[in-house]
Amino acid sequence: MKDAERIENSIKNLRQSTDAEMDERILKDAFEALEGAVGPQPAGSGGGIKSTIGVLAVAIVIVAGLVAFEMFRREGQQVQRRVGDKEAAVKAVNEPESILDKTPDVQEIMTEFESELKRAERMFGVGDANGLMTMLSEGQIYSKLIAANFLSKIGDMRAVELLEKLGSEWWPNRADNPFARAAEEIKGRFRQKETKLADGSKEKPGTTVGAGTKDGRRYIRGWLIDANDKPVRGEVRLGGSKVETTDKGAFTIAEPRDTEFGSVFGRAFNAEGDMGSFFIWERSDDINDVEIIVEPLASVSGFVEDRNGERVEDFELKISVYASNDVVYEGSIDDAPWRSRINADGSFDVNSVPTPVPLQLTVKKPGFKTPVKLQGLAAGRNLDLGRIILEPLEGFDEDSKWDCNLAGIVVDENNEPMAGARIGCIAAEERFDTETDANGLYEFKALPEGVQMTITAYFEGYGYNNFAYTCIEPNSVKDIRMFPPAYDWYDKPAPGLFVSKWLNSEPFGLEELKGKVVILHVGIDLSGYPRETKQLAYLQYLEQIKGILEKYKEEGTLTVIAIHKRLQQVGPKEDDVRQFVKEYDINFPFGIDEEMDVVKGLVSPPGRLRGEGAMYSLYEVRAEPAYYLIDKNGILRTSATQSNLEEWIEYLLGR
Amino acid sequence: MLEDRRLIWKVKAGDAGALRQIYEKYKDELLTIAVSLLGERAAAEDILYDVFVSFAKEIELFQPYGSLKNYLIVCVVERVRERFRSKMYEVVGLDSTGPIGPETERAKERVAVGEEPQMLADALVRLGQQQREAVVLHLQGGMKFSQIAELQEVSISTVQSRYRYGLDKLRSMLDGEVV
Repeated sequence: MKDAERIENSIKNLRQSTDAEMDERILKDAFEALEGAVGPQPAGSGGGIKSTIGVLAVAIVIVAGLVAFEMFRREGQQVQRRVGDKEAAVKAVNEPESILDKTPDVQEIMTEFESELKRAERMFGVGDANGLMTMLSEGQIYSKLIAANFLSKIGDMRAVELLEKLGSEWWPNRADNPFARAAEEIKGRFRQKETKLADGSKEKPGTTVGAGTKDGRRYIRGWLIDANDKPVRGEVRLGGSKVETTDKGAFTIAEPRDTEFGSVFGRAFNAEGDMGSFFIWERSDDINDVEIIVEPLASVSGFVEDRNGERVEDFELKISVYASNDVVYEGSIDDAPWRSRINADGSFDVNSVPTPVPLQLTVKKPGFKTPVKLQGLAAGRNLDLGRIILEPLEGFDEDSKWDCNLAGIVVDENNEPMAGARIGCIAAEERFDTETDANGLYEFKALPEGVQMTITAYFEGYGYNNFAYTCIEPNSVKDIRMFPPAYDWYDKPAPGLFVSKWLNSEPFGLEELKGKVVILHVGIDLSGYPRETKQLAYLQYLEQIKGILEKYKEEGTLTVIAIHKRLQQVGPKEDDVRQFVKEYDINFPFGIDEEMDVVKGLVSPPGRLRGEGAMYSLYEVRAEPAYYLIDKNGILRTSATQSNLEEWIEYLLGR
Repeated sequence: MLEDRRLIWKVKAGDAGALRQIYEKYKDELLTIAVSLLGERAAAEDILYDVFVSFAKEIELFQPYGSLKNYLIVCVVERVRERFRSKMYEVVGLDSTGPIGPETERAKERVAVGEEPQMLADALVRLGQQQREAVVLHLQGGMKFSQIAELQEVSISTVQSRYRYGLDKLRSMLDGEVV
C-alpha cells in the first residue's frame, strides 16, 4: 500500500535537471533577447532602468505616420488644415505605395515627423502621460499615431477610450488599425500585469527552526543603496525593529519572528525621507549582503466624482499593499510615509509613495468604496489617476441615509440582563463596536437605514451570536437573548461521545464514568504544532486543566476528556496530535472528533452541523475553550467558562 | 525575495550575469514542473526555453512584485495550457506507450530496479489536467492552495478537492500496478 503522504513525498522528490547543452542554448538566446530589450550594458554596471522604445512598433508608426502625413500635406494645399477628411486618409493608407511613390519631398516630411517623434519621446522619457494624451486628442493625425504608440508603451488605461474612438473613426476596417491595436496592447498589458501581480508575494517561507536558533533570532546584514549602487544613509524597519544605517549605508537588523511571516513589510528610507522603498522579507531570503535599493518617492493624483458626475470632496483615502487580486494587507503599514491632501474641488494628491511593492488606493466614504490599483507607479514620478468614480457598496446609493439609532437590551437564558456583553455591528464594510452597560443596554448611533447589517453579540461562555438586521426606521429597537452553547442539553443526560480515534486510551463511553464529574473539552485545535507551538491557545487551557486535576486528585472523582477537531487536509496530522499528547504528558483521554454525519439526527436545525466534527456540532461549540461539565449522574449541567470552571467543579464535587 | 528583486533590477539594467543567476536558480525546478505537467521532456525543454527567452525579452514590462519563482511557474503553466489547447500536442502517457494493468511482473521488476519515479511520472500524466496542476504546483512548485486557486480561477476548496482526488487517483493507479 502507498499512503498519500508517501506519494506526496515521491512527487516532491521527482527531479529533472537541464544539461549543459540546453543551458547554453537557452542562455545564448536569452542574452540576445535581453540585449534587444535593454541594449548592451557592461555586466554589473548600475544605472537606472533605461526607457527604450519598442523598435518595431516605432517603425510601424513611422510608415503609417508618413503615409498619413503625406496625405495631409497634399490635402492641405486645397483644404487648409482640415483634419477630419477621413475618407481620403483611409484611401491613402490602404494604398500606401501609390502615395509614397508620388511623395515630393521625403526629407521635409521626415523632418517634421521626427520633430514630433522627438517631442513624444521626451514626454515618454519623463513619463508625461498627460502630454501624450493631449497629443493624441488634439494633434494632427501623424501626431496622434505617434502618441498612440507611446501611450501603449506607458500602458495608461485612460488612453483606451480615446484610442478606441479614434480606431473607429480612422481606418475602421483595417485589421491592423494602429489605434485599436494600441488600445488592445494597453488592455493586454494590464491583464498581463494583473497576472504577474497575482502570483502571491505573501508566500510563507518554510520555517525550519534549526539548532541554535530556537530562541535566538537571526540578524540580517545589508546596505541601503540608490539606483546607481551608491550607499545611502537612512533608516530600515522590519517587523517591529527599526535601525539606522551607518554613514556608509550599512545596517544590521533582527529578522522578524516566525509568527510574523506572511505579512512582514520592511521599509527603508534615506535620511531626508525623500527616497525610499518597501520590501517584503521572506525567511528564504539570504540574510547576508542584502541590498535594498531606495529610489525617489512617487506621487499620485486624481479627482473623485459620484456616478452622476458630481464632484465629491468628503471622502477618505487609504493606501494598502496587496499581494494578489484579493489579498490586501490591511493596516499593516503603521506610520505610513505618505501624506495625502484632499481639496475642496474633489481633487487629491498623495505624496511620498514608495514604488516597489504593489499598492492600492482606496477612495471611500460611508456606503461607498472604490479601490484603484496603482499600476504604473514609477519612482520619482506622479501617477495621475484622473477621474475616480466613487461606487456605492451593495445596497447603497447616493440617497442612502445614515440616521438609524439602534438600541436594545441583552439578556441571558434566564432573562437576566448581561452587563459587559460586546456588541458589534458590521454595515457597509464598516465595523462599529460597543458594550452593554450595567443594565444590559446597548446603543448604536448613525447606522445606515434599509441595508442589511450583521450584528454580533459576544459574552464569555456564551460565545458569538450572529444575526442579520436591517434598520427600517430612524429609532430601531432590537433586544438580544443569548443562550449558552448546548443549552438544549442542559439538565439532560449528556448526548455522548463521538470519537473517530482515541490517541492514548481504549475506546469508552460516558456511561462508564458514572460517579465522576467530567470536564469535557471539545473543539481543540492544535494547528501550528509543532512549528509554532508557543502560539497554541490550547497550551493555556491545558495548564488550567492540569492545575485543576492536580488540585482535586485526592477526590479521584474528577476526570477530563479532550476532543480535537476533525483533522483536515491542512493543519495537524494524526501523528502530530499523537506527538503532542506524548510531549505534554497528557494522561486523560484525548480523542479526535467523528464525522458530523453520525449526529445528523441529533442536531437541529441542520445548519448547526459543522465540518469540525460530530461533537463540535452536537455540543454547539461557539468559542474557545468549549468546556462542558457533566455531573456524577451523567447529566450535562453547564458550559463553563475559563473563569467559572473551578467554581462549578467545586459545586459539582459537592465541596 | 529580496535577492530576486535585486537580480531583476540588475537584469533590467542589462546585466546578463544576473539573468544567468536567475536561470541557474530556477531552471531545474521549472523543468521538473514542466515535465510533470506535460509528461514529456522534449516539450518541457521547449517551454523552459520559451519562458526564459520571453522573460529576457519582456524584462522591461516585468513588475518586480511578488515572488519571481511563482511568476515563472505561472509562465510555465500558461504555456503548458497553450500546448494542450492547441491540440497539436497529445499527452503521451502509459495508455499510448504500452500495455498496463495485468503486466504486474514488469511493474514489480521496475520497482525493484528503482524505476518507481518513472511510474509515478507516467501516472501523473494520466490525471486530468486540473488535478495534475493542483498536485504538481503544490508539491513541486511549493505553491499554496490559495495561489493555485487564483491561477485556476476557482475557490480554494475546489483546488483542495482537485488535489485530494488527484492523490487518491494516483494512489489507486500505483496500487493497481504494484500490488
